[in-house]
Amino acid sequence: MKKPSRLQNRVRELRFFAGEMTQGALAEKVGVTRQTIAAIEKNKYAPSLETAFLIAEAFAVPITDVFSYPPEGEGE
Amino acid sequence: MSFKEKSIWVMLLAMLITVATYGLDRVDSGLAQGSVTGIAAAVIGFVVLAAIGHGVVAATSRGDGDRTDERDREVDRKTDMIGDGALSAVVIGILAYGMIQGDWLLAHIAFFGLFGAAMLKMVSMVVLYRMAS
Repeated sequence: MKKPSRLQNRVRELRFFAGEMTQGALAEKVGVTRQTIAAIEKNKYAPSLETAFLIAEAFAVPITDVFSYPPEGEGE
Repeated sequence: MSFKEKSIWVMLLAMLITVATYGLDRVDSGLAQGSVTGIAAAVIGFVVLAAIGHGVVAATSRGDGDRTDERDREVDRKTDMIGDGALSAVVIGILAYGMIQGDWLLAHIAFFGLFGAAMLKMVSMVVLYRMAS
């Protein structure tokens, strides 16, 4: 079974603060499918570094405001 | 469901129909018998089914259209390994069959096909490693 990723994100929260931006609108800005955004939000898919930067750019925040990688044992 | 995923379902369904139809025909006439028209009909039938299916999916899909992204490519890469493994097992089976039956043309096609494909992969890997070094 695939080990769950420790990568965490605030994409859903940031969409809310961006005027409830839809997954489709964010996907359009980033250049991925809506399903990929949904998978990232549910931590089912770890995006590439470039996509992670593009997501941060879409919200006009640093990448560390969107993604975090807590030490092992934390945030589980 | 993304366009790509719907497309996979269409391809799977078209393949199942093609294999079932052609397979039933083979049950009647035997695996050792065949014809160019039979194989051609199966391939053309598959292409037509897939094209109709994709047309329906494209007409009923909203939003993403036929966009594919890194997640689709990652799924492709992972599943290619499964497909490659299955194909290699079949070719090894053909090689064994050719050697046992003394059909050396068949055995040699399988042998050189296996090594040729592996060599092509190695060359591609060397090129990619060089490009990324």
